[in-house]
Amino acid sequence: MENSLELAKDILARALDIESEGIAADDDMNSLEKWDSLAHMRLILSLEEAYNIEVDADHIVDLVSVQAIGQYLGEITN
Amino acid sequence: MHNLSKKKESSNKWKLGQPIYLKAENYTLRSLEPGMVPDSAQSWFENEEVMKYISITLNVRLDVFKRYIRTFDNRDSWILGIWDTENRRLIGFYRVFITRYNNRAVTSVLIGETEYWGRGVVIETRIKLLDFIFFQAGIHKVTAKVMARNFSAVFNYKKLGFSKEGVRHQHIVDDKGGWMDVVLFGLLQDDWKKLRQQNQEKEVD
Repeated sequence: MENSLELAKDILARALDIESEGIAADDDMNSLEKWDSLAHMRLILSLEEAYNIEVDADHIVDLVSVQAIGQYLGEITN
Repeated sequence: MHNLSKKKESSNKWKLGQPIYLKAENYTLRSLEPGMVPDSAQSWFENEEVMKYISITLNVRLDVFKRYIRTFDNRDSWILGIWDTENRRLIGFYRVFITRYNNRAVTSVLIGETEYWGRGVVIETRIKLLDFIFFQAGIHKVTAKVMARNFSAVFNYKKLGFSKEGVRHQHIVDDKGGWMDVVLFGLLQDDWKKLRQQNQEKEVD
């Protein structure tokens, strides 16, 4: 999970165009100012591109925190 | 050009059937009338990116849209234009349909001017609209249906506190013949009250 969380921070940082060091494990869509609707779109599309997947509807809705992204990455990479 | 600044915001005295006027920080919502729609709005309905996730047919003619506007009564169906208050430009519209018996509303939004995408228009204006729906019109619940791959719309509903109530799998066929899932969102008046209260407390802190 630790690796997944670091991966989640990296992917999110690229989508938000910020440094991953500025993202904490308990951050979410409300705590990160740059996490807006376009950043969310970049996040989902970059996950799909990086892992050659199509994110399902439930996860499109639920991937709104670092923890949720980390958990999802754990699921699709194991 | 319509004068948006002199109009008074709809207040507690709003009555069924009266036009609605709401002012957000940078944008104004007002009951849309056919004469308020500029010819340039035709481009909205010809833009595949704009219409991709909207339940209005692509390439609808402007005169047909204007006739459609006349079907809204400000009672059980509202169509509210969204104007950039500074330059008085119409950039999109909300639709609200109310089921009286269940005291429930379903809403949708279209931002036709794509240069306004990513500028927080929907978050800013939907807060005002939800305040009006819940606290002035007294609606108990607001719902929305969103195509799952409309990532920005999904984000906006989540951001405002809507709960996912379900997913309709392979519910709609897209323009390439593929299936699309639809996410059902809901927000109760009590939950909106709590969220607004929490936000006000944060602002005070």
